[in-house]
Amino acid sequence: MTGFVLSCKAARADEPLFGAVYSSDLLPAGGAEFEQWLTWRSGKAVGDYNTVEGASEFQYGLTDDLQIAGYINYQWADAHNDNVIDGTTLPPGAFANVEVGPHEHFRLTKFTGVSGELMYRMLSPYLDSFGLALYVKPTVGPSLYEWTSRLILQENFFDDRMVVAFNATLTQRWRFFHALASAPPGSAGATDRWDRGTATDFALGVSYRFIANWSAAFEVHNEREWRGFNPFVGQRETNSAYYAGPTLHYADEHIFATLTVLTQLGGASDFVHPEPDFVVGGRNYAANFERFRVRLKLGYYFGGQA
Amino acid sequence: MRVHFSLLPFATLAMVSPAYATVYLSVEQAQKLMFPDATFTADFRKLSDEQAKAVEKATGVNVLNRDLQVWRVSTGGWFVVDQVVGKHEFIPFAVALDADGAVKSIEILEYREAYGGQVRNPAWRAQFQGKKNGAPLALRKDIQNISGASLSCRHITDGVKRILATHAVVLAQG
Repeated sequence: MTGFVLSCKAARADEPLFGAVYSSDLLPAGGAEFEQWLTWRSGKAVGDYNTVEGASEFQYGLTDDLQIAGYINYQWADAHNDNVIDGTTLPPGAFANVEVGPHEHFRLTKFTGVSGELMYRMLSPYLDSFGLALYVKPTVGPSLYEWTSRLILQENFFDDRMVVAFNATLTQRWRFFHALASAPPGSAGATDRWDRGTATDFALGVSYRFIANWSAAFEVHNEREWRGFNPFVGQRETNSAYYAGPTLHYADEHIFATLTVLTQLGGASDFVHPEPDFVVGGRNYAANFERFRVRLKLGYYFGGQA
Repeated sequence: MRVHFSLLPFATLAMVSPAYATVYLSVEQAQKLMFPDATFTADFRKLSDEQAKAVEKATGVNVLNRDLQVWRVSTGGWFVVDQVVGKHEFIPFAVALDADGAVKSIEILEYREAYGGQVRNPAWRAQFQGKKNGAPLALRKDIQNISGASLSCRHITDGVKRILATHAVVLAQG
C-alpha cells in the first residue's frame, strides 16, 4: 500500500477563490496552470485616474506541497490632475520615478518586471486542523527590486465548501529615482538615489461554493506603507487604507475565472502630510491607493484525469 | 462542523455539468460488477430527522441527502449509491455492503475534476474492504491518504463512514 501511495501523482489543483487573498491550496506534483490577471484601478477624489495592471503567470507543482511560478508584469496608466493635495498630476506608484509636469496628462504603457514565486504548504486543511503555507515572490524590473513574503492561514467548513483564509503580506521595495532637473539643488530629488519602501497587507477572505462550479466570496484588506525597510521603527508609516468587496468564481476541469471588485472603505490615514493630506472623505488617495479596484483572473489547468 | 445541506437534485447537476464529465460506471454496471449474478430490489428510503441526526452524531459527517438510493441484493447485502463533495462538483460513488454490513467494495461512478482521479485506484479503494460501522475511517489512521488528492480522499472516506452508519441506524433495523 505504501508503494502505491508514494507513486501517486497529480490530484488537486490550486484555484484562486479570491481576488487578492491566497489560500493554502496548491497544484499537485506535476500539475501546471496558466493564469492571466488584469487589474483595473480607478478613481481619485479629483482629476482623472485609471490604470490597468497585467500579469501573465505560469505555475507548476514541484511536489504536492511546493509550487513555483513565474510572472511577466506590465501596466498601462492614464492620470491627470489627480493629486488631491495640490491638484497636480500624480502617477501610479509603479511609475513614481517617472518625471511628470505638474499638470501634464500622464499616459504610459510599460513592462514593469518579472517575478518568481515559491509557495510551500506546511499544513493542509484537508489533513490537519488548518492550512498553513509560506509564500515568497521576488520581482525584478526596470529600476526596481522587490521582495514579497506572505503567511497564509486557511480553515475550511461545511464539507470544504466554505473556505476562510487570512494573509499577512510584507513587501519590501527598492526603486531607483533619477535626479530631477526641476528639483532644488541639495534636495533629495536633485541626485540619483534608490528609494526604499515597505508595504503590508493584512487580508481576510471568506468563500462559499453555493452550487457546483460556482463560488462567491468576500474579502477585506488593510494596506499600510512605510518609508525604509523596517516597519517597526516609529514615525516611518506613511499611509493606511482599507478595501473590501465581493468575488464571483467559476471553475471546472480545465478553466477558471475569478472577478473581484474592491472598494476603498473609510478609516484611511496619511501619516506624513499635514492638512490637506491624501485623505478625503476618510479614503486615502496617495499614489498607491484609489477608490475602486476590479480584478479579473482567467486560468487554464493543463493535464487531466488519470 | 456539522450542518445539514440539501443536495442539489441530480437533474440540476446534470444541467450544469460540463460535457467532459467522465462516467465510468452506470448504476447497473456497478451492480453487476460488485454483485455478479445477483438481482437487485430497489428499497429507496428517506431519512427522518432523528435518523439523520443519529448518523451525524455517530460519524461527525454531514448527511448531505436524506433520500437513500439503496437496493437489496438477492445474495445478501446492500447496494448503495451516494455522492460526496468534490473540488468543483459532486462525486457519485457506490458501496457494496455484505449481509453483515461490512464494506465489500466501493466504485467511483463519475469523476468530473482535472485532478484527483487517483481515488479510482483499486489499491486505494481496497482499504475499505471489511470496514464496519464504528471503524475509525479517517485519513492517516486506517485509511491512507493519496498525497495531493486529499480533498477527494477525505470526502469519499467520510461518505463510506456515513453509509456504514446509515446501515446501522436504518437498513439493519429492517
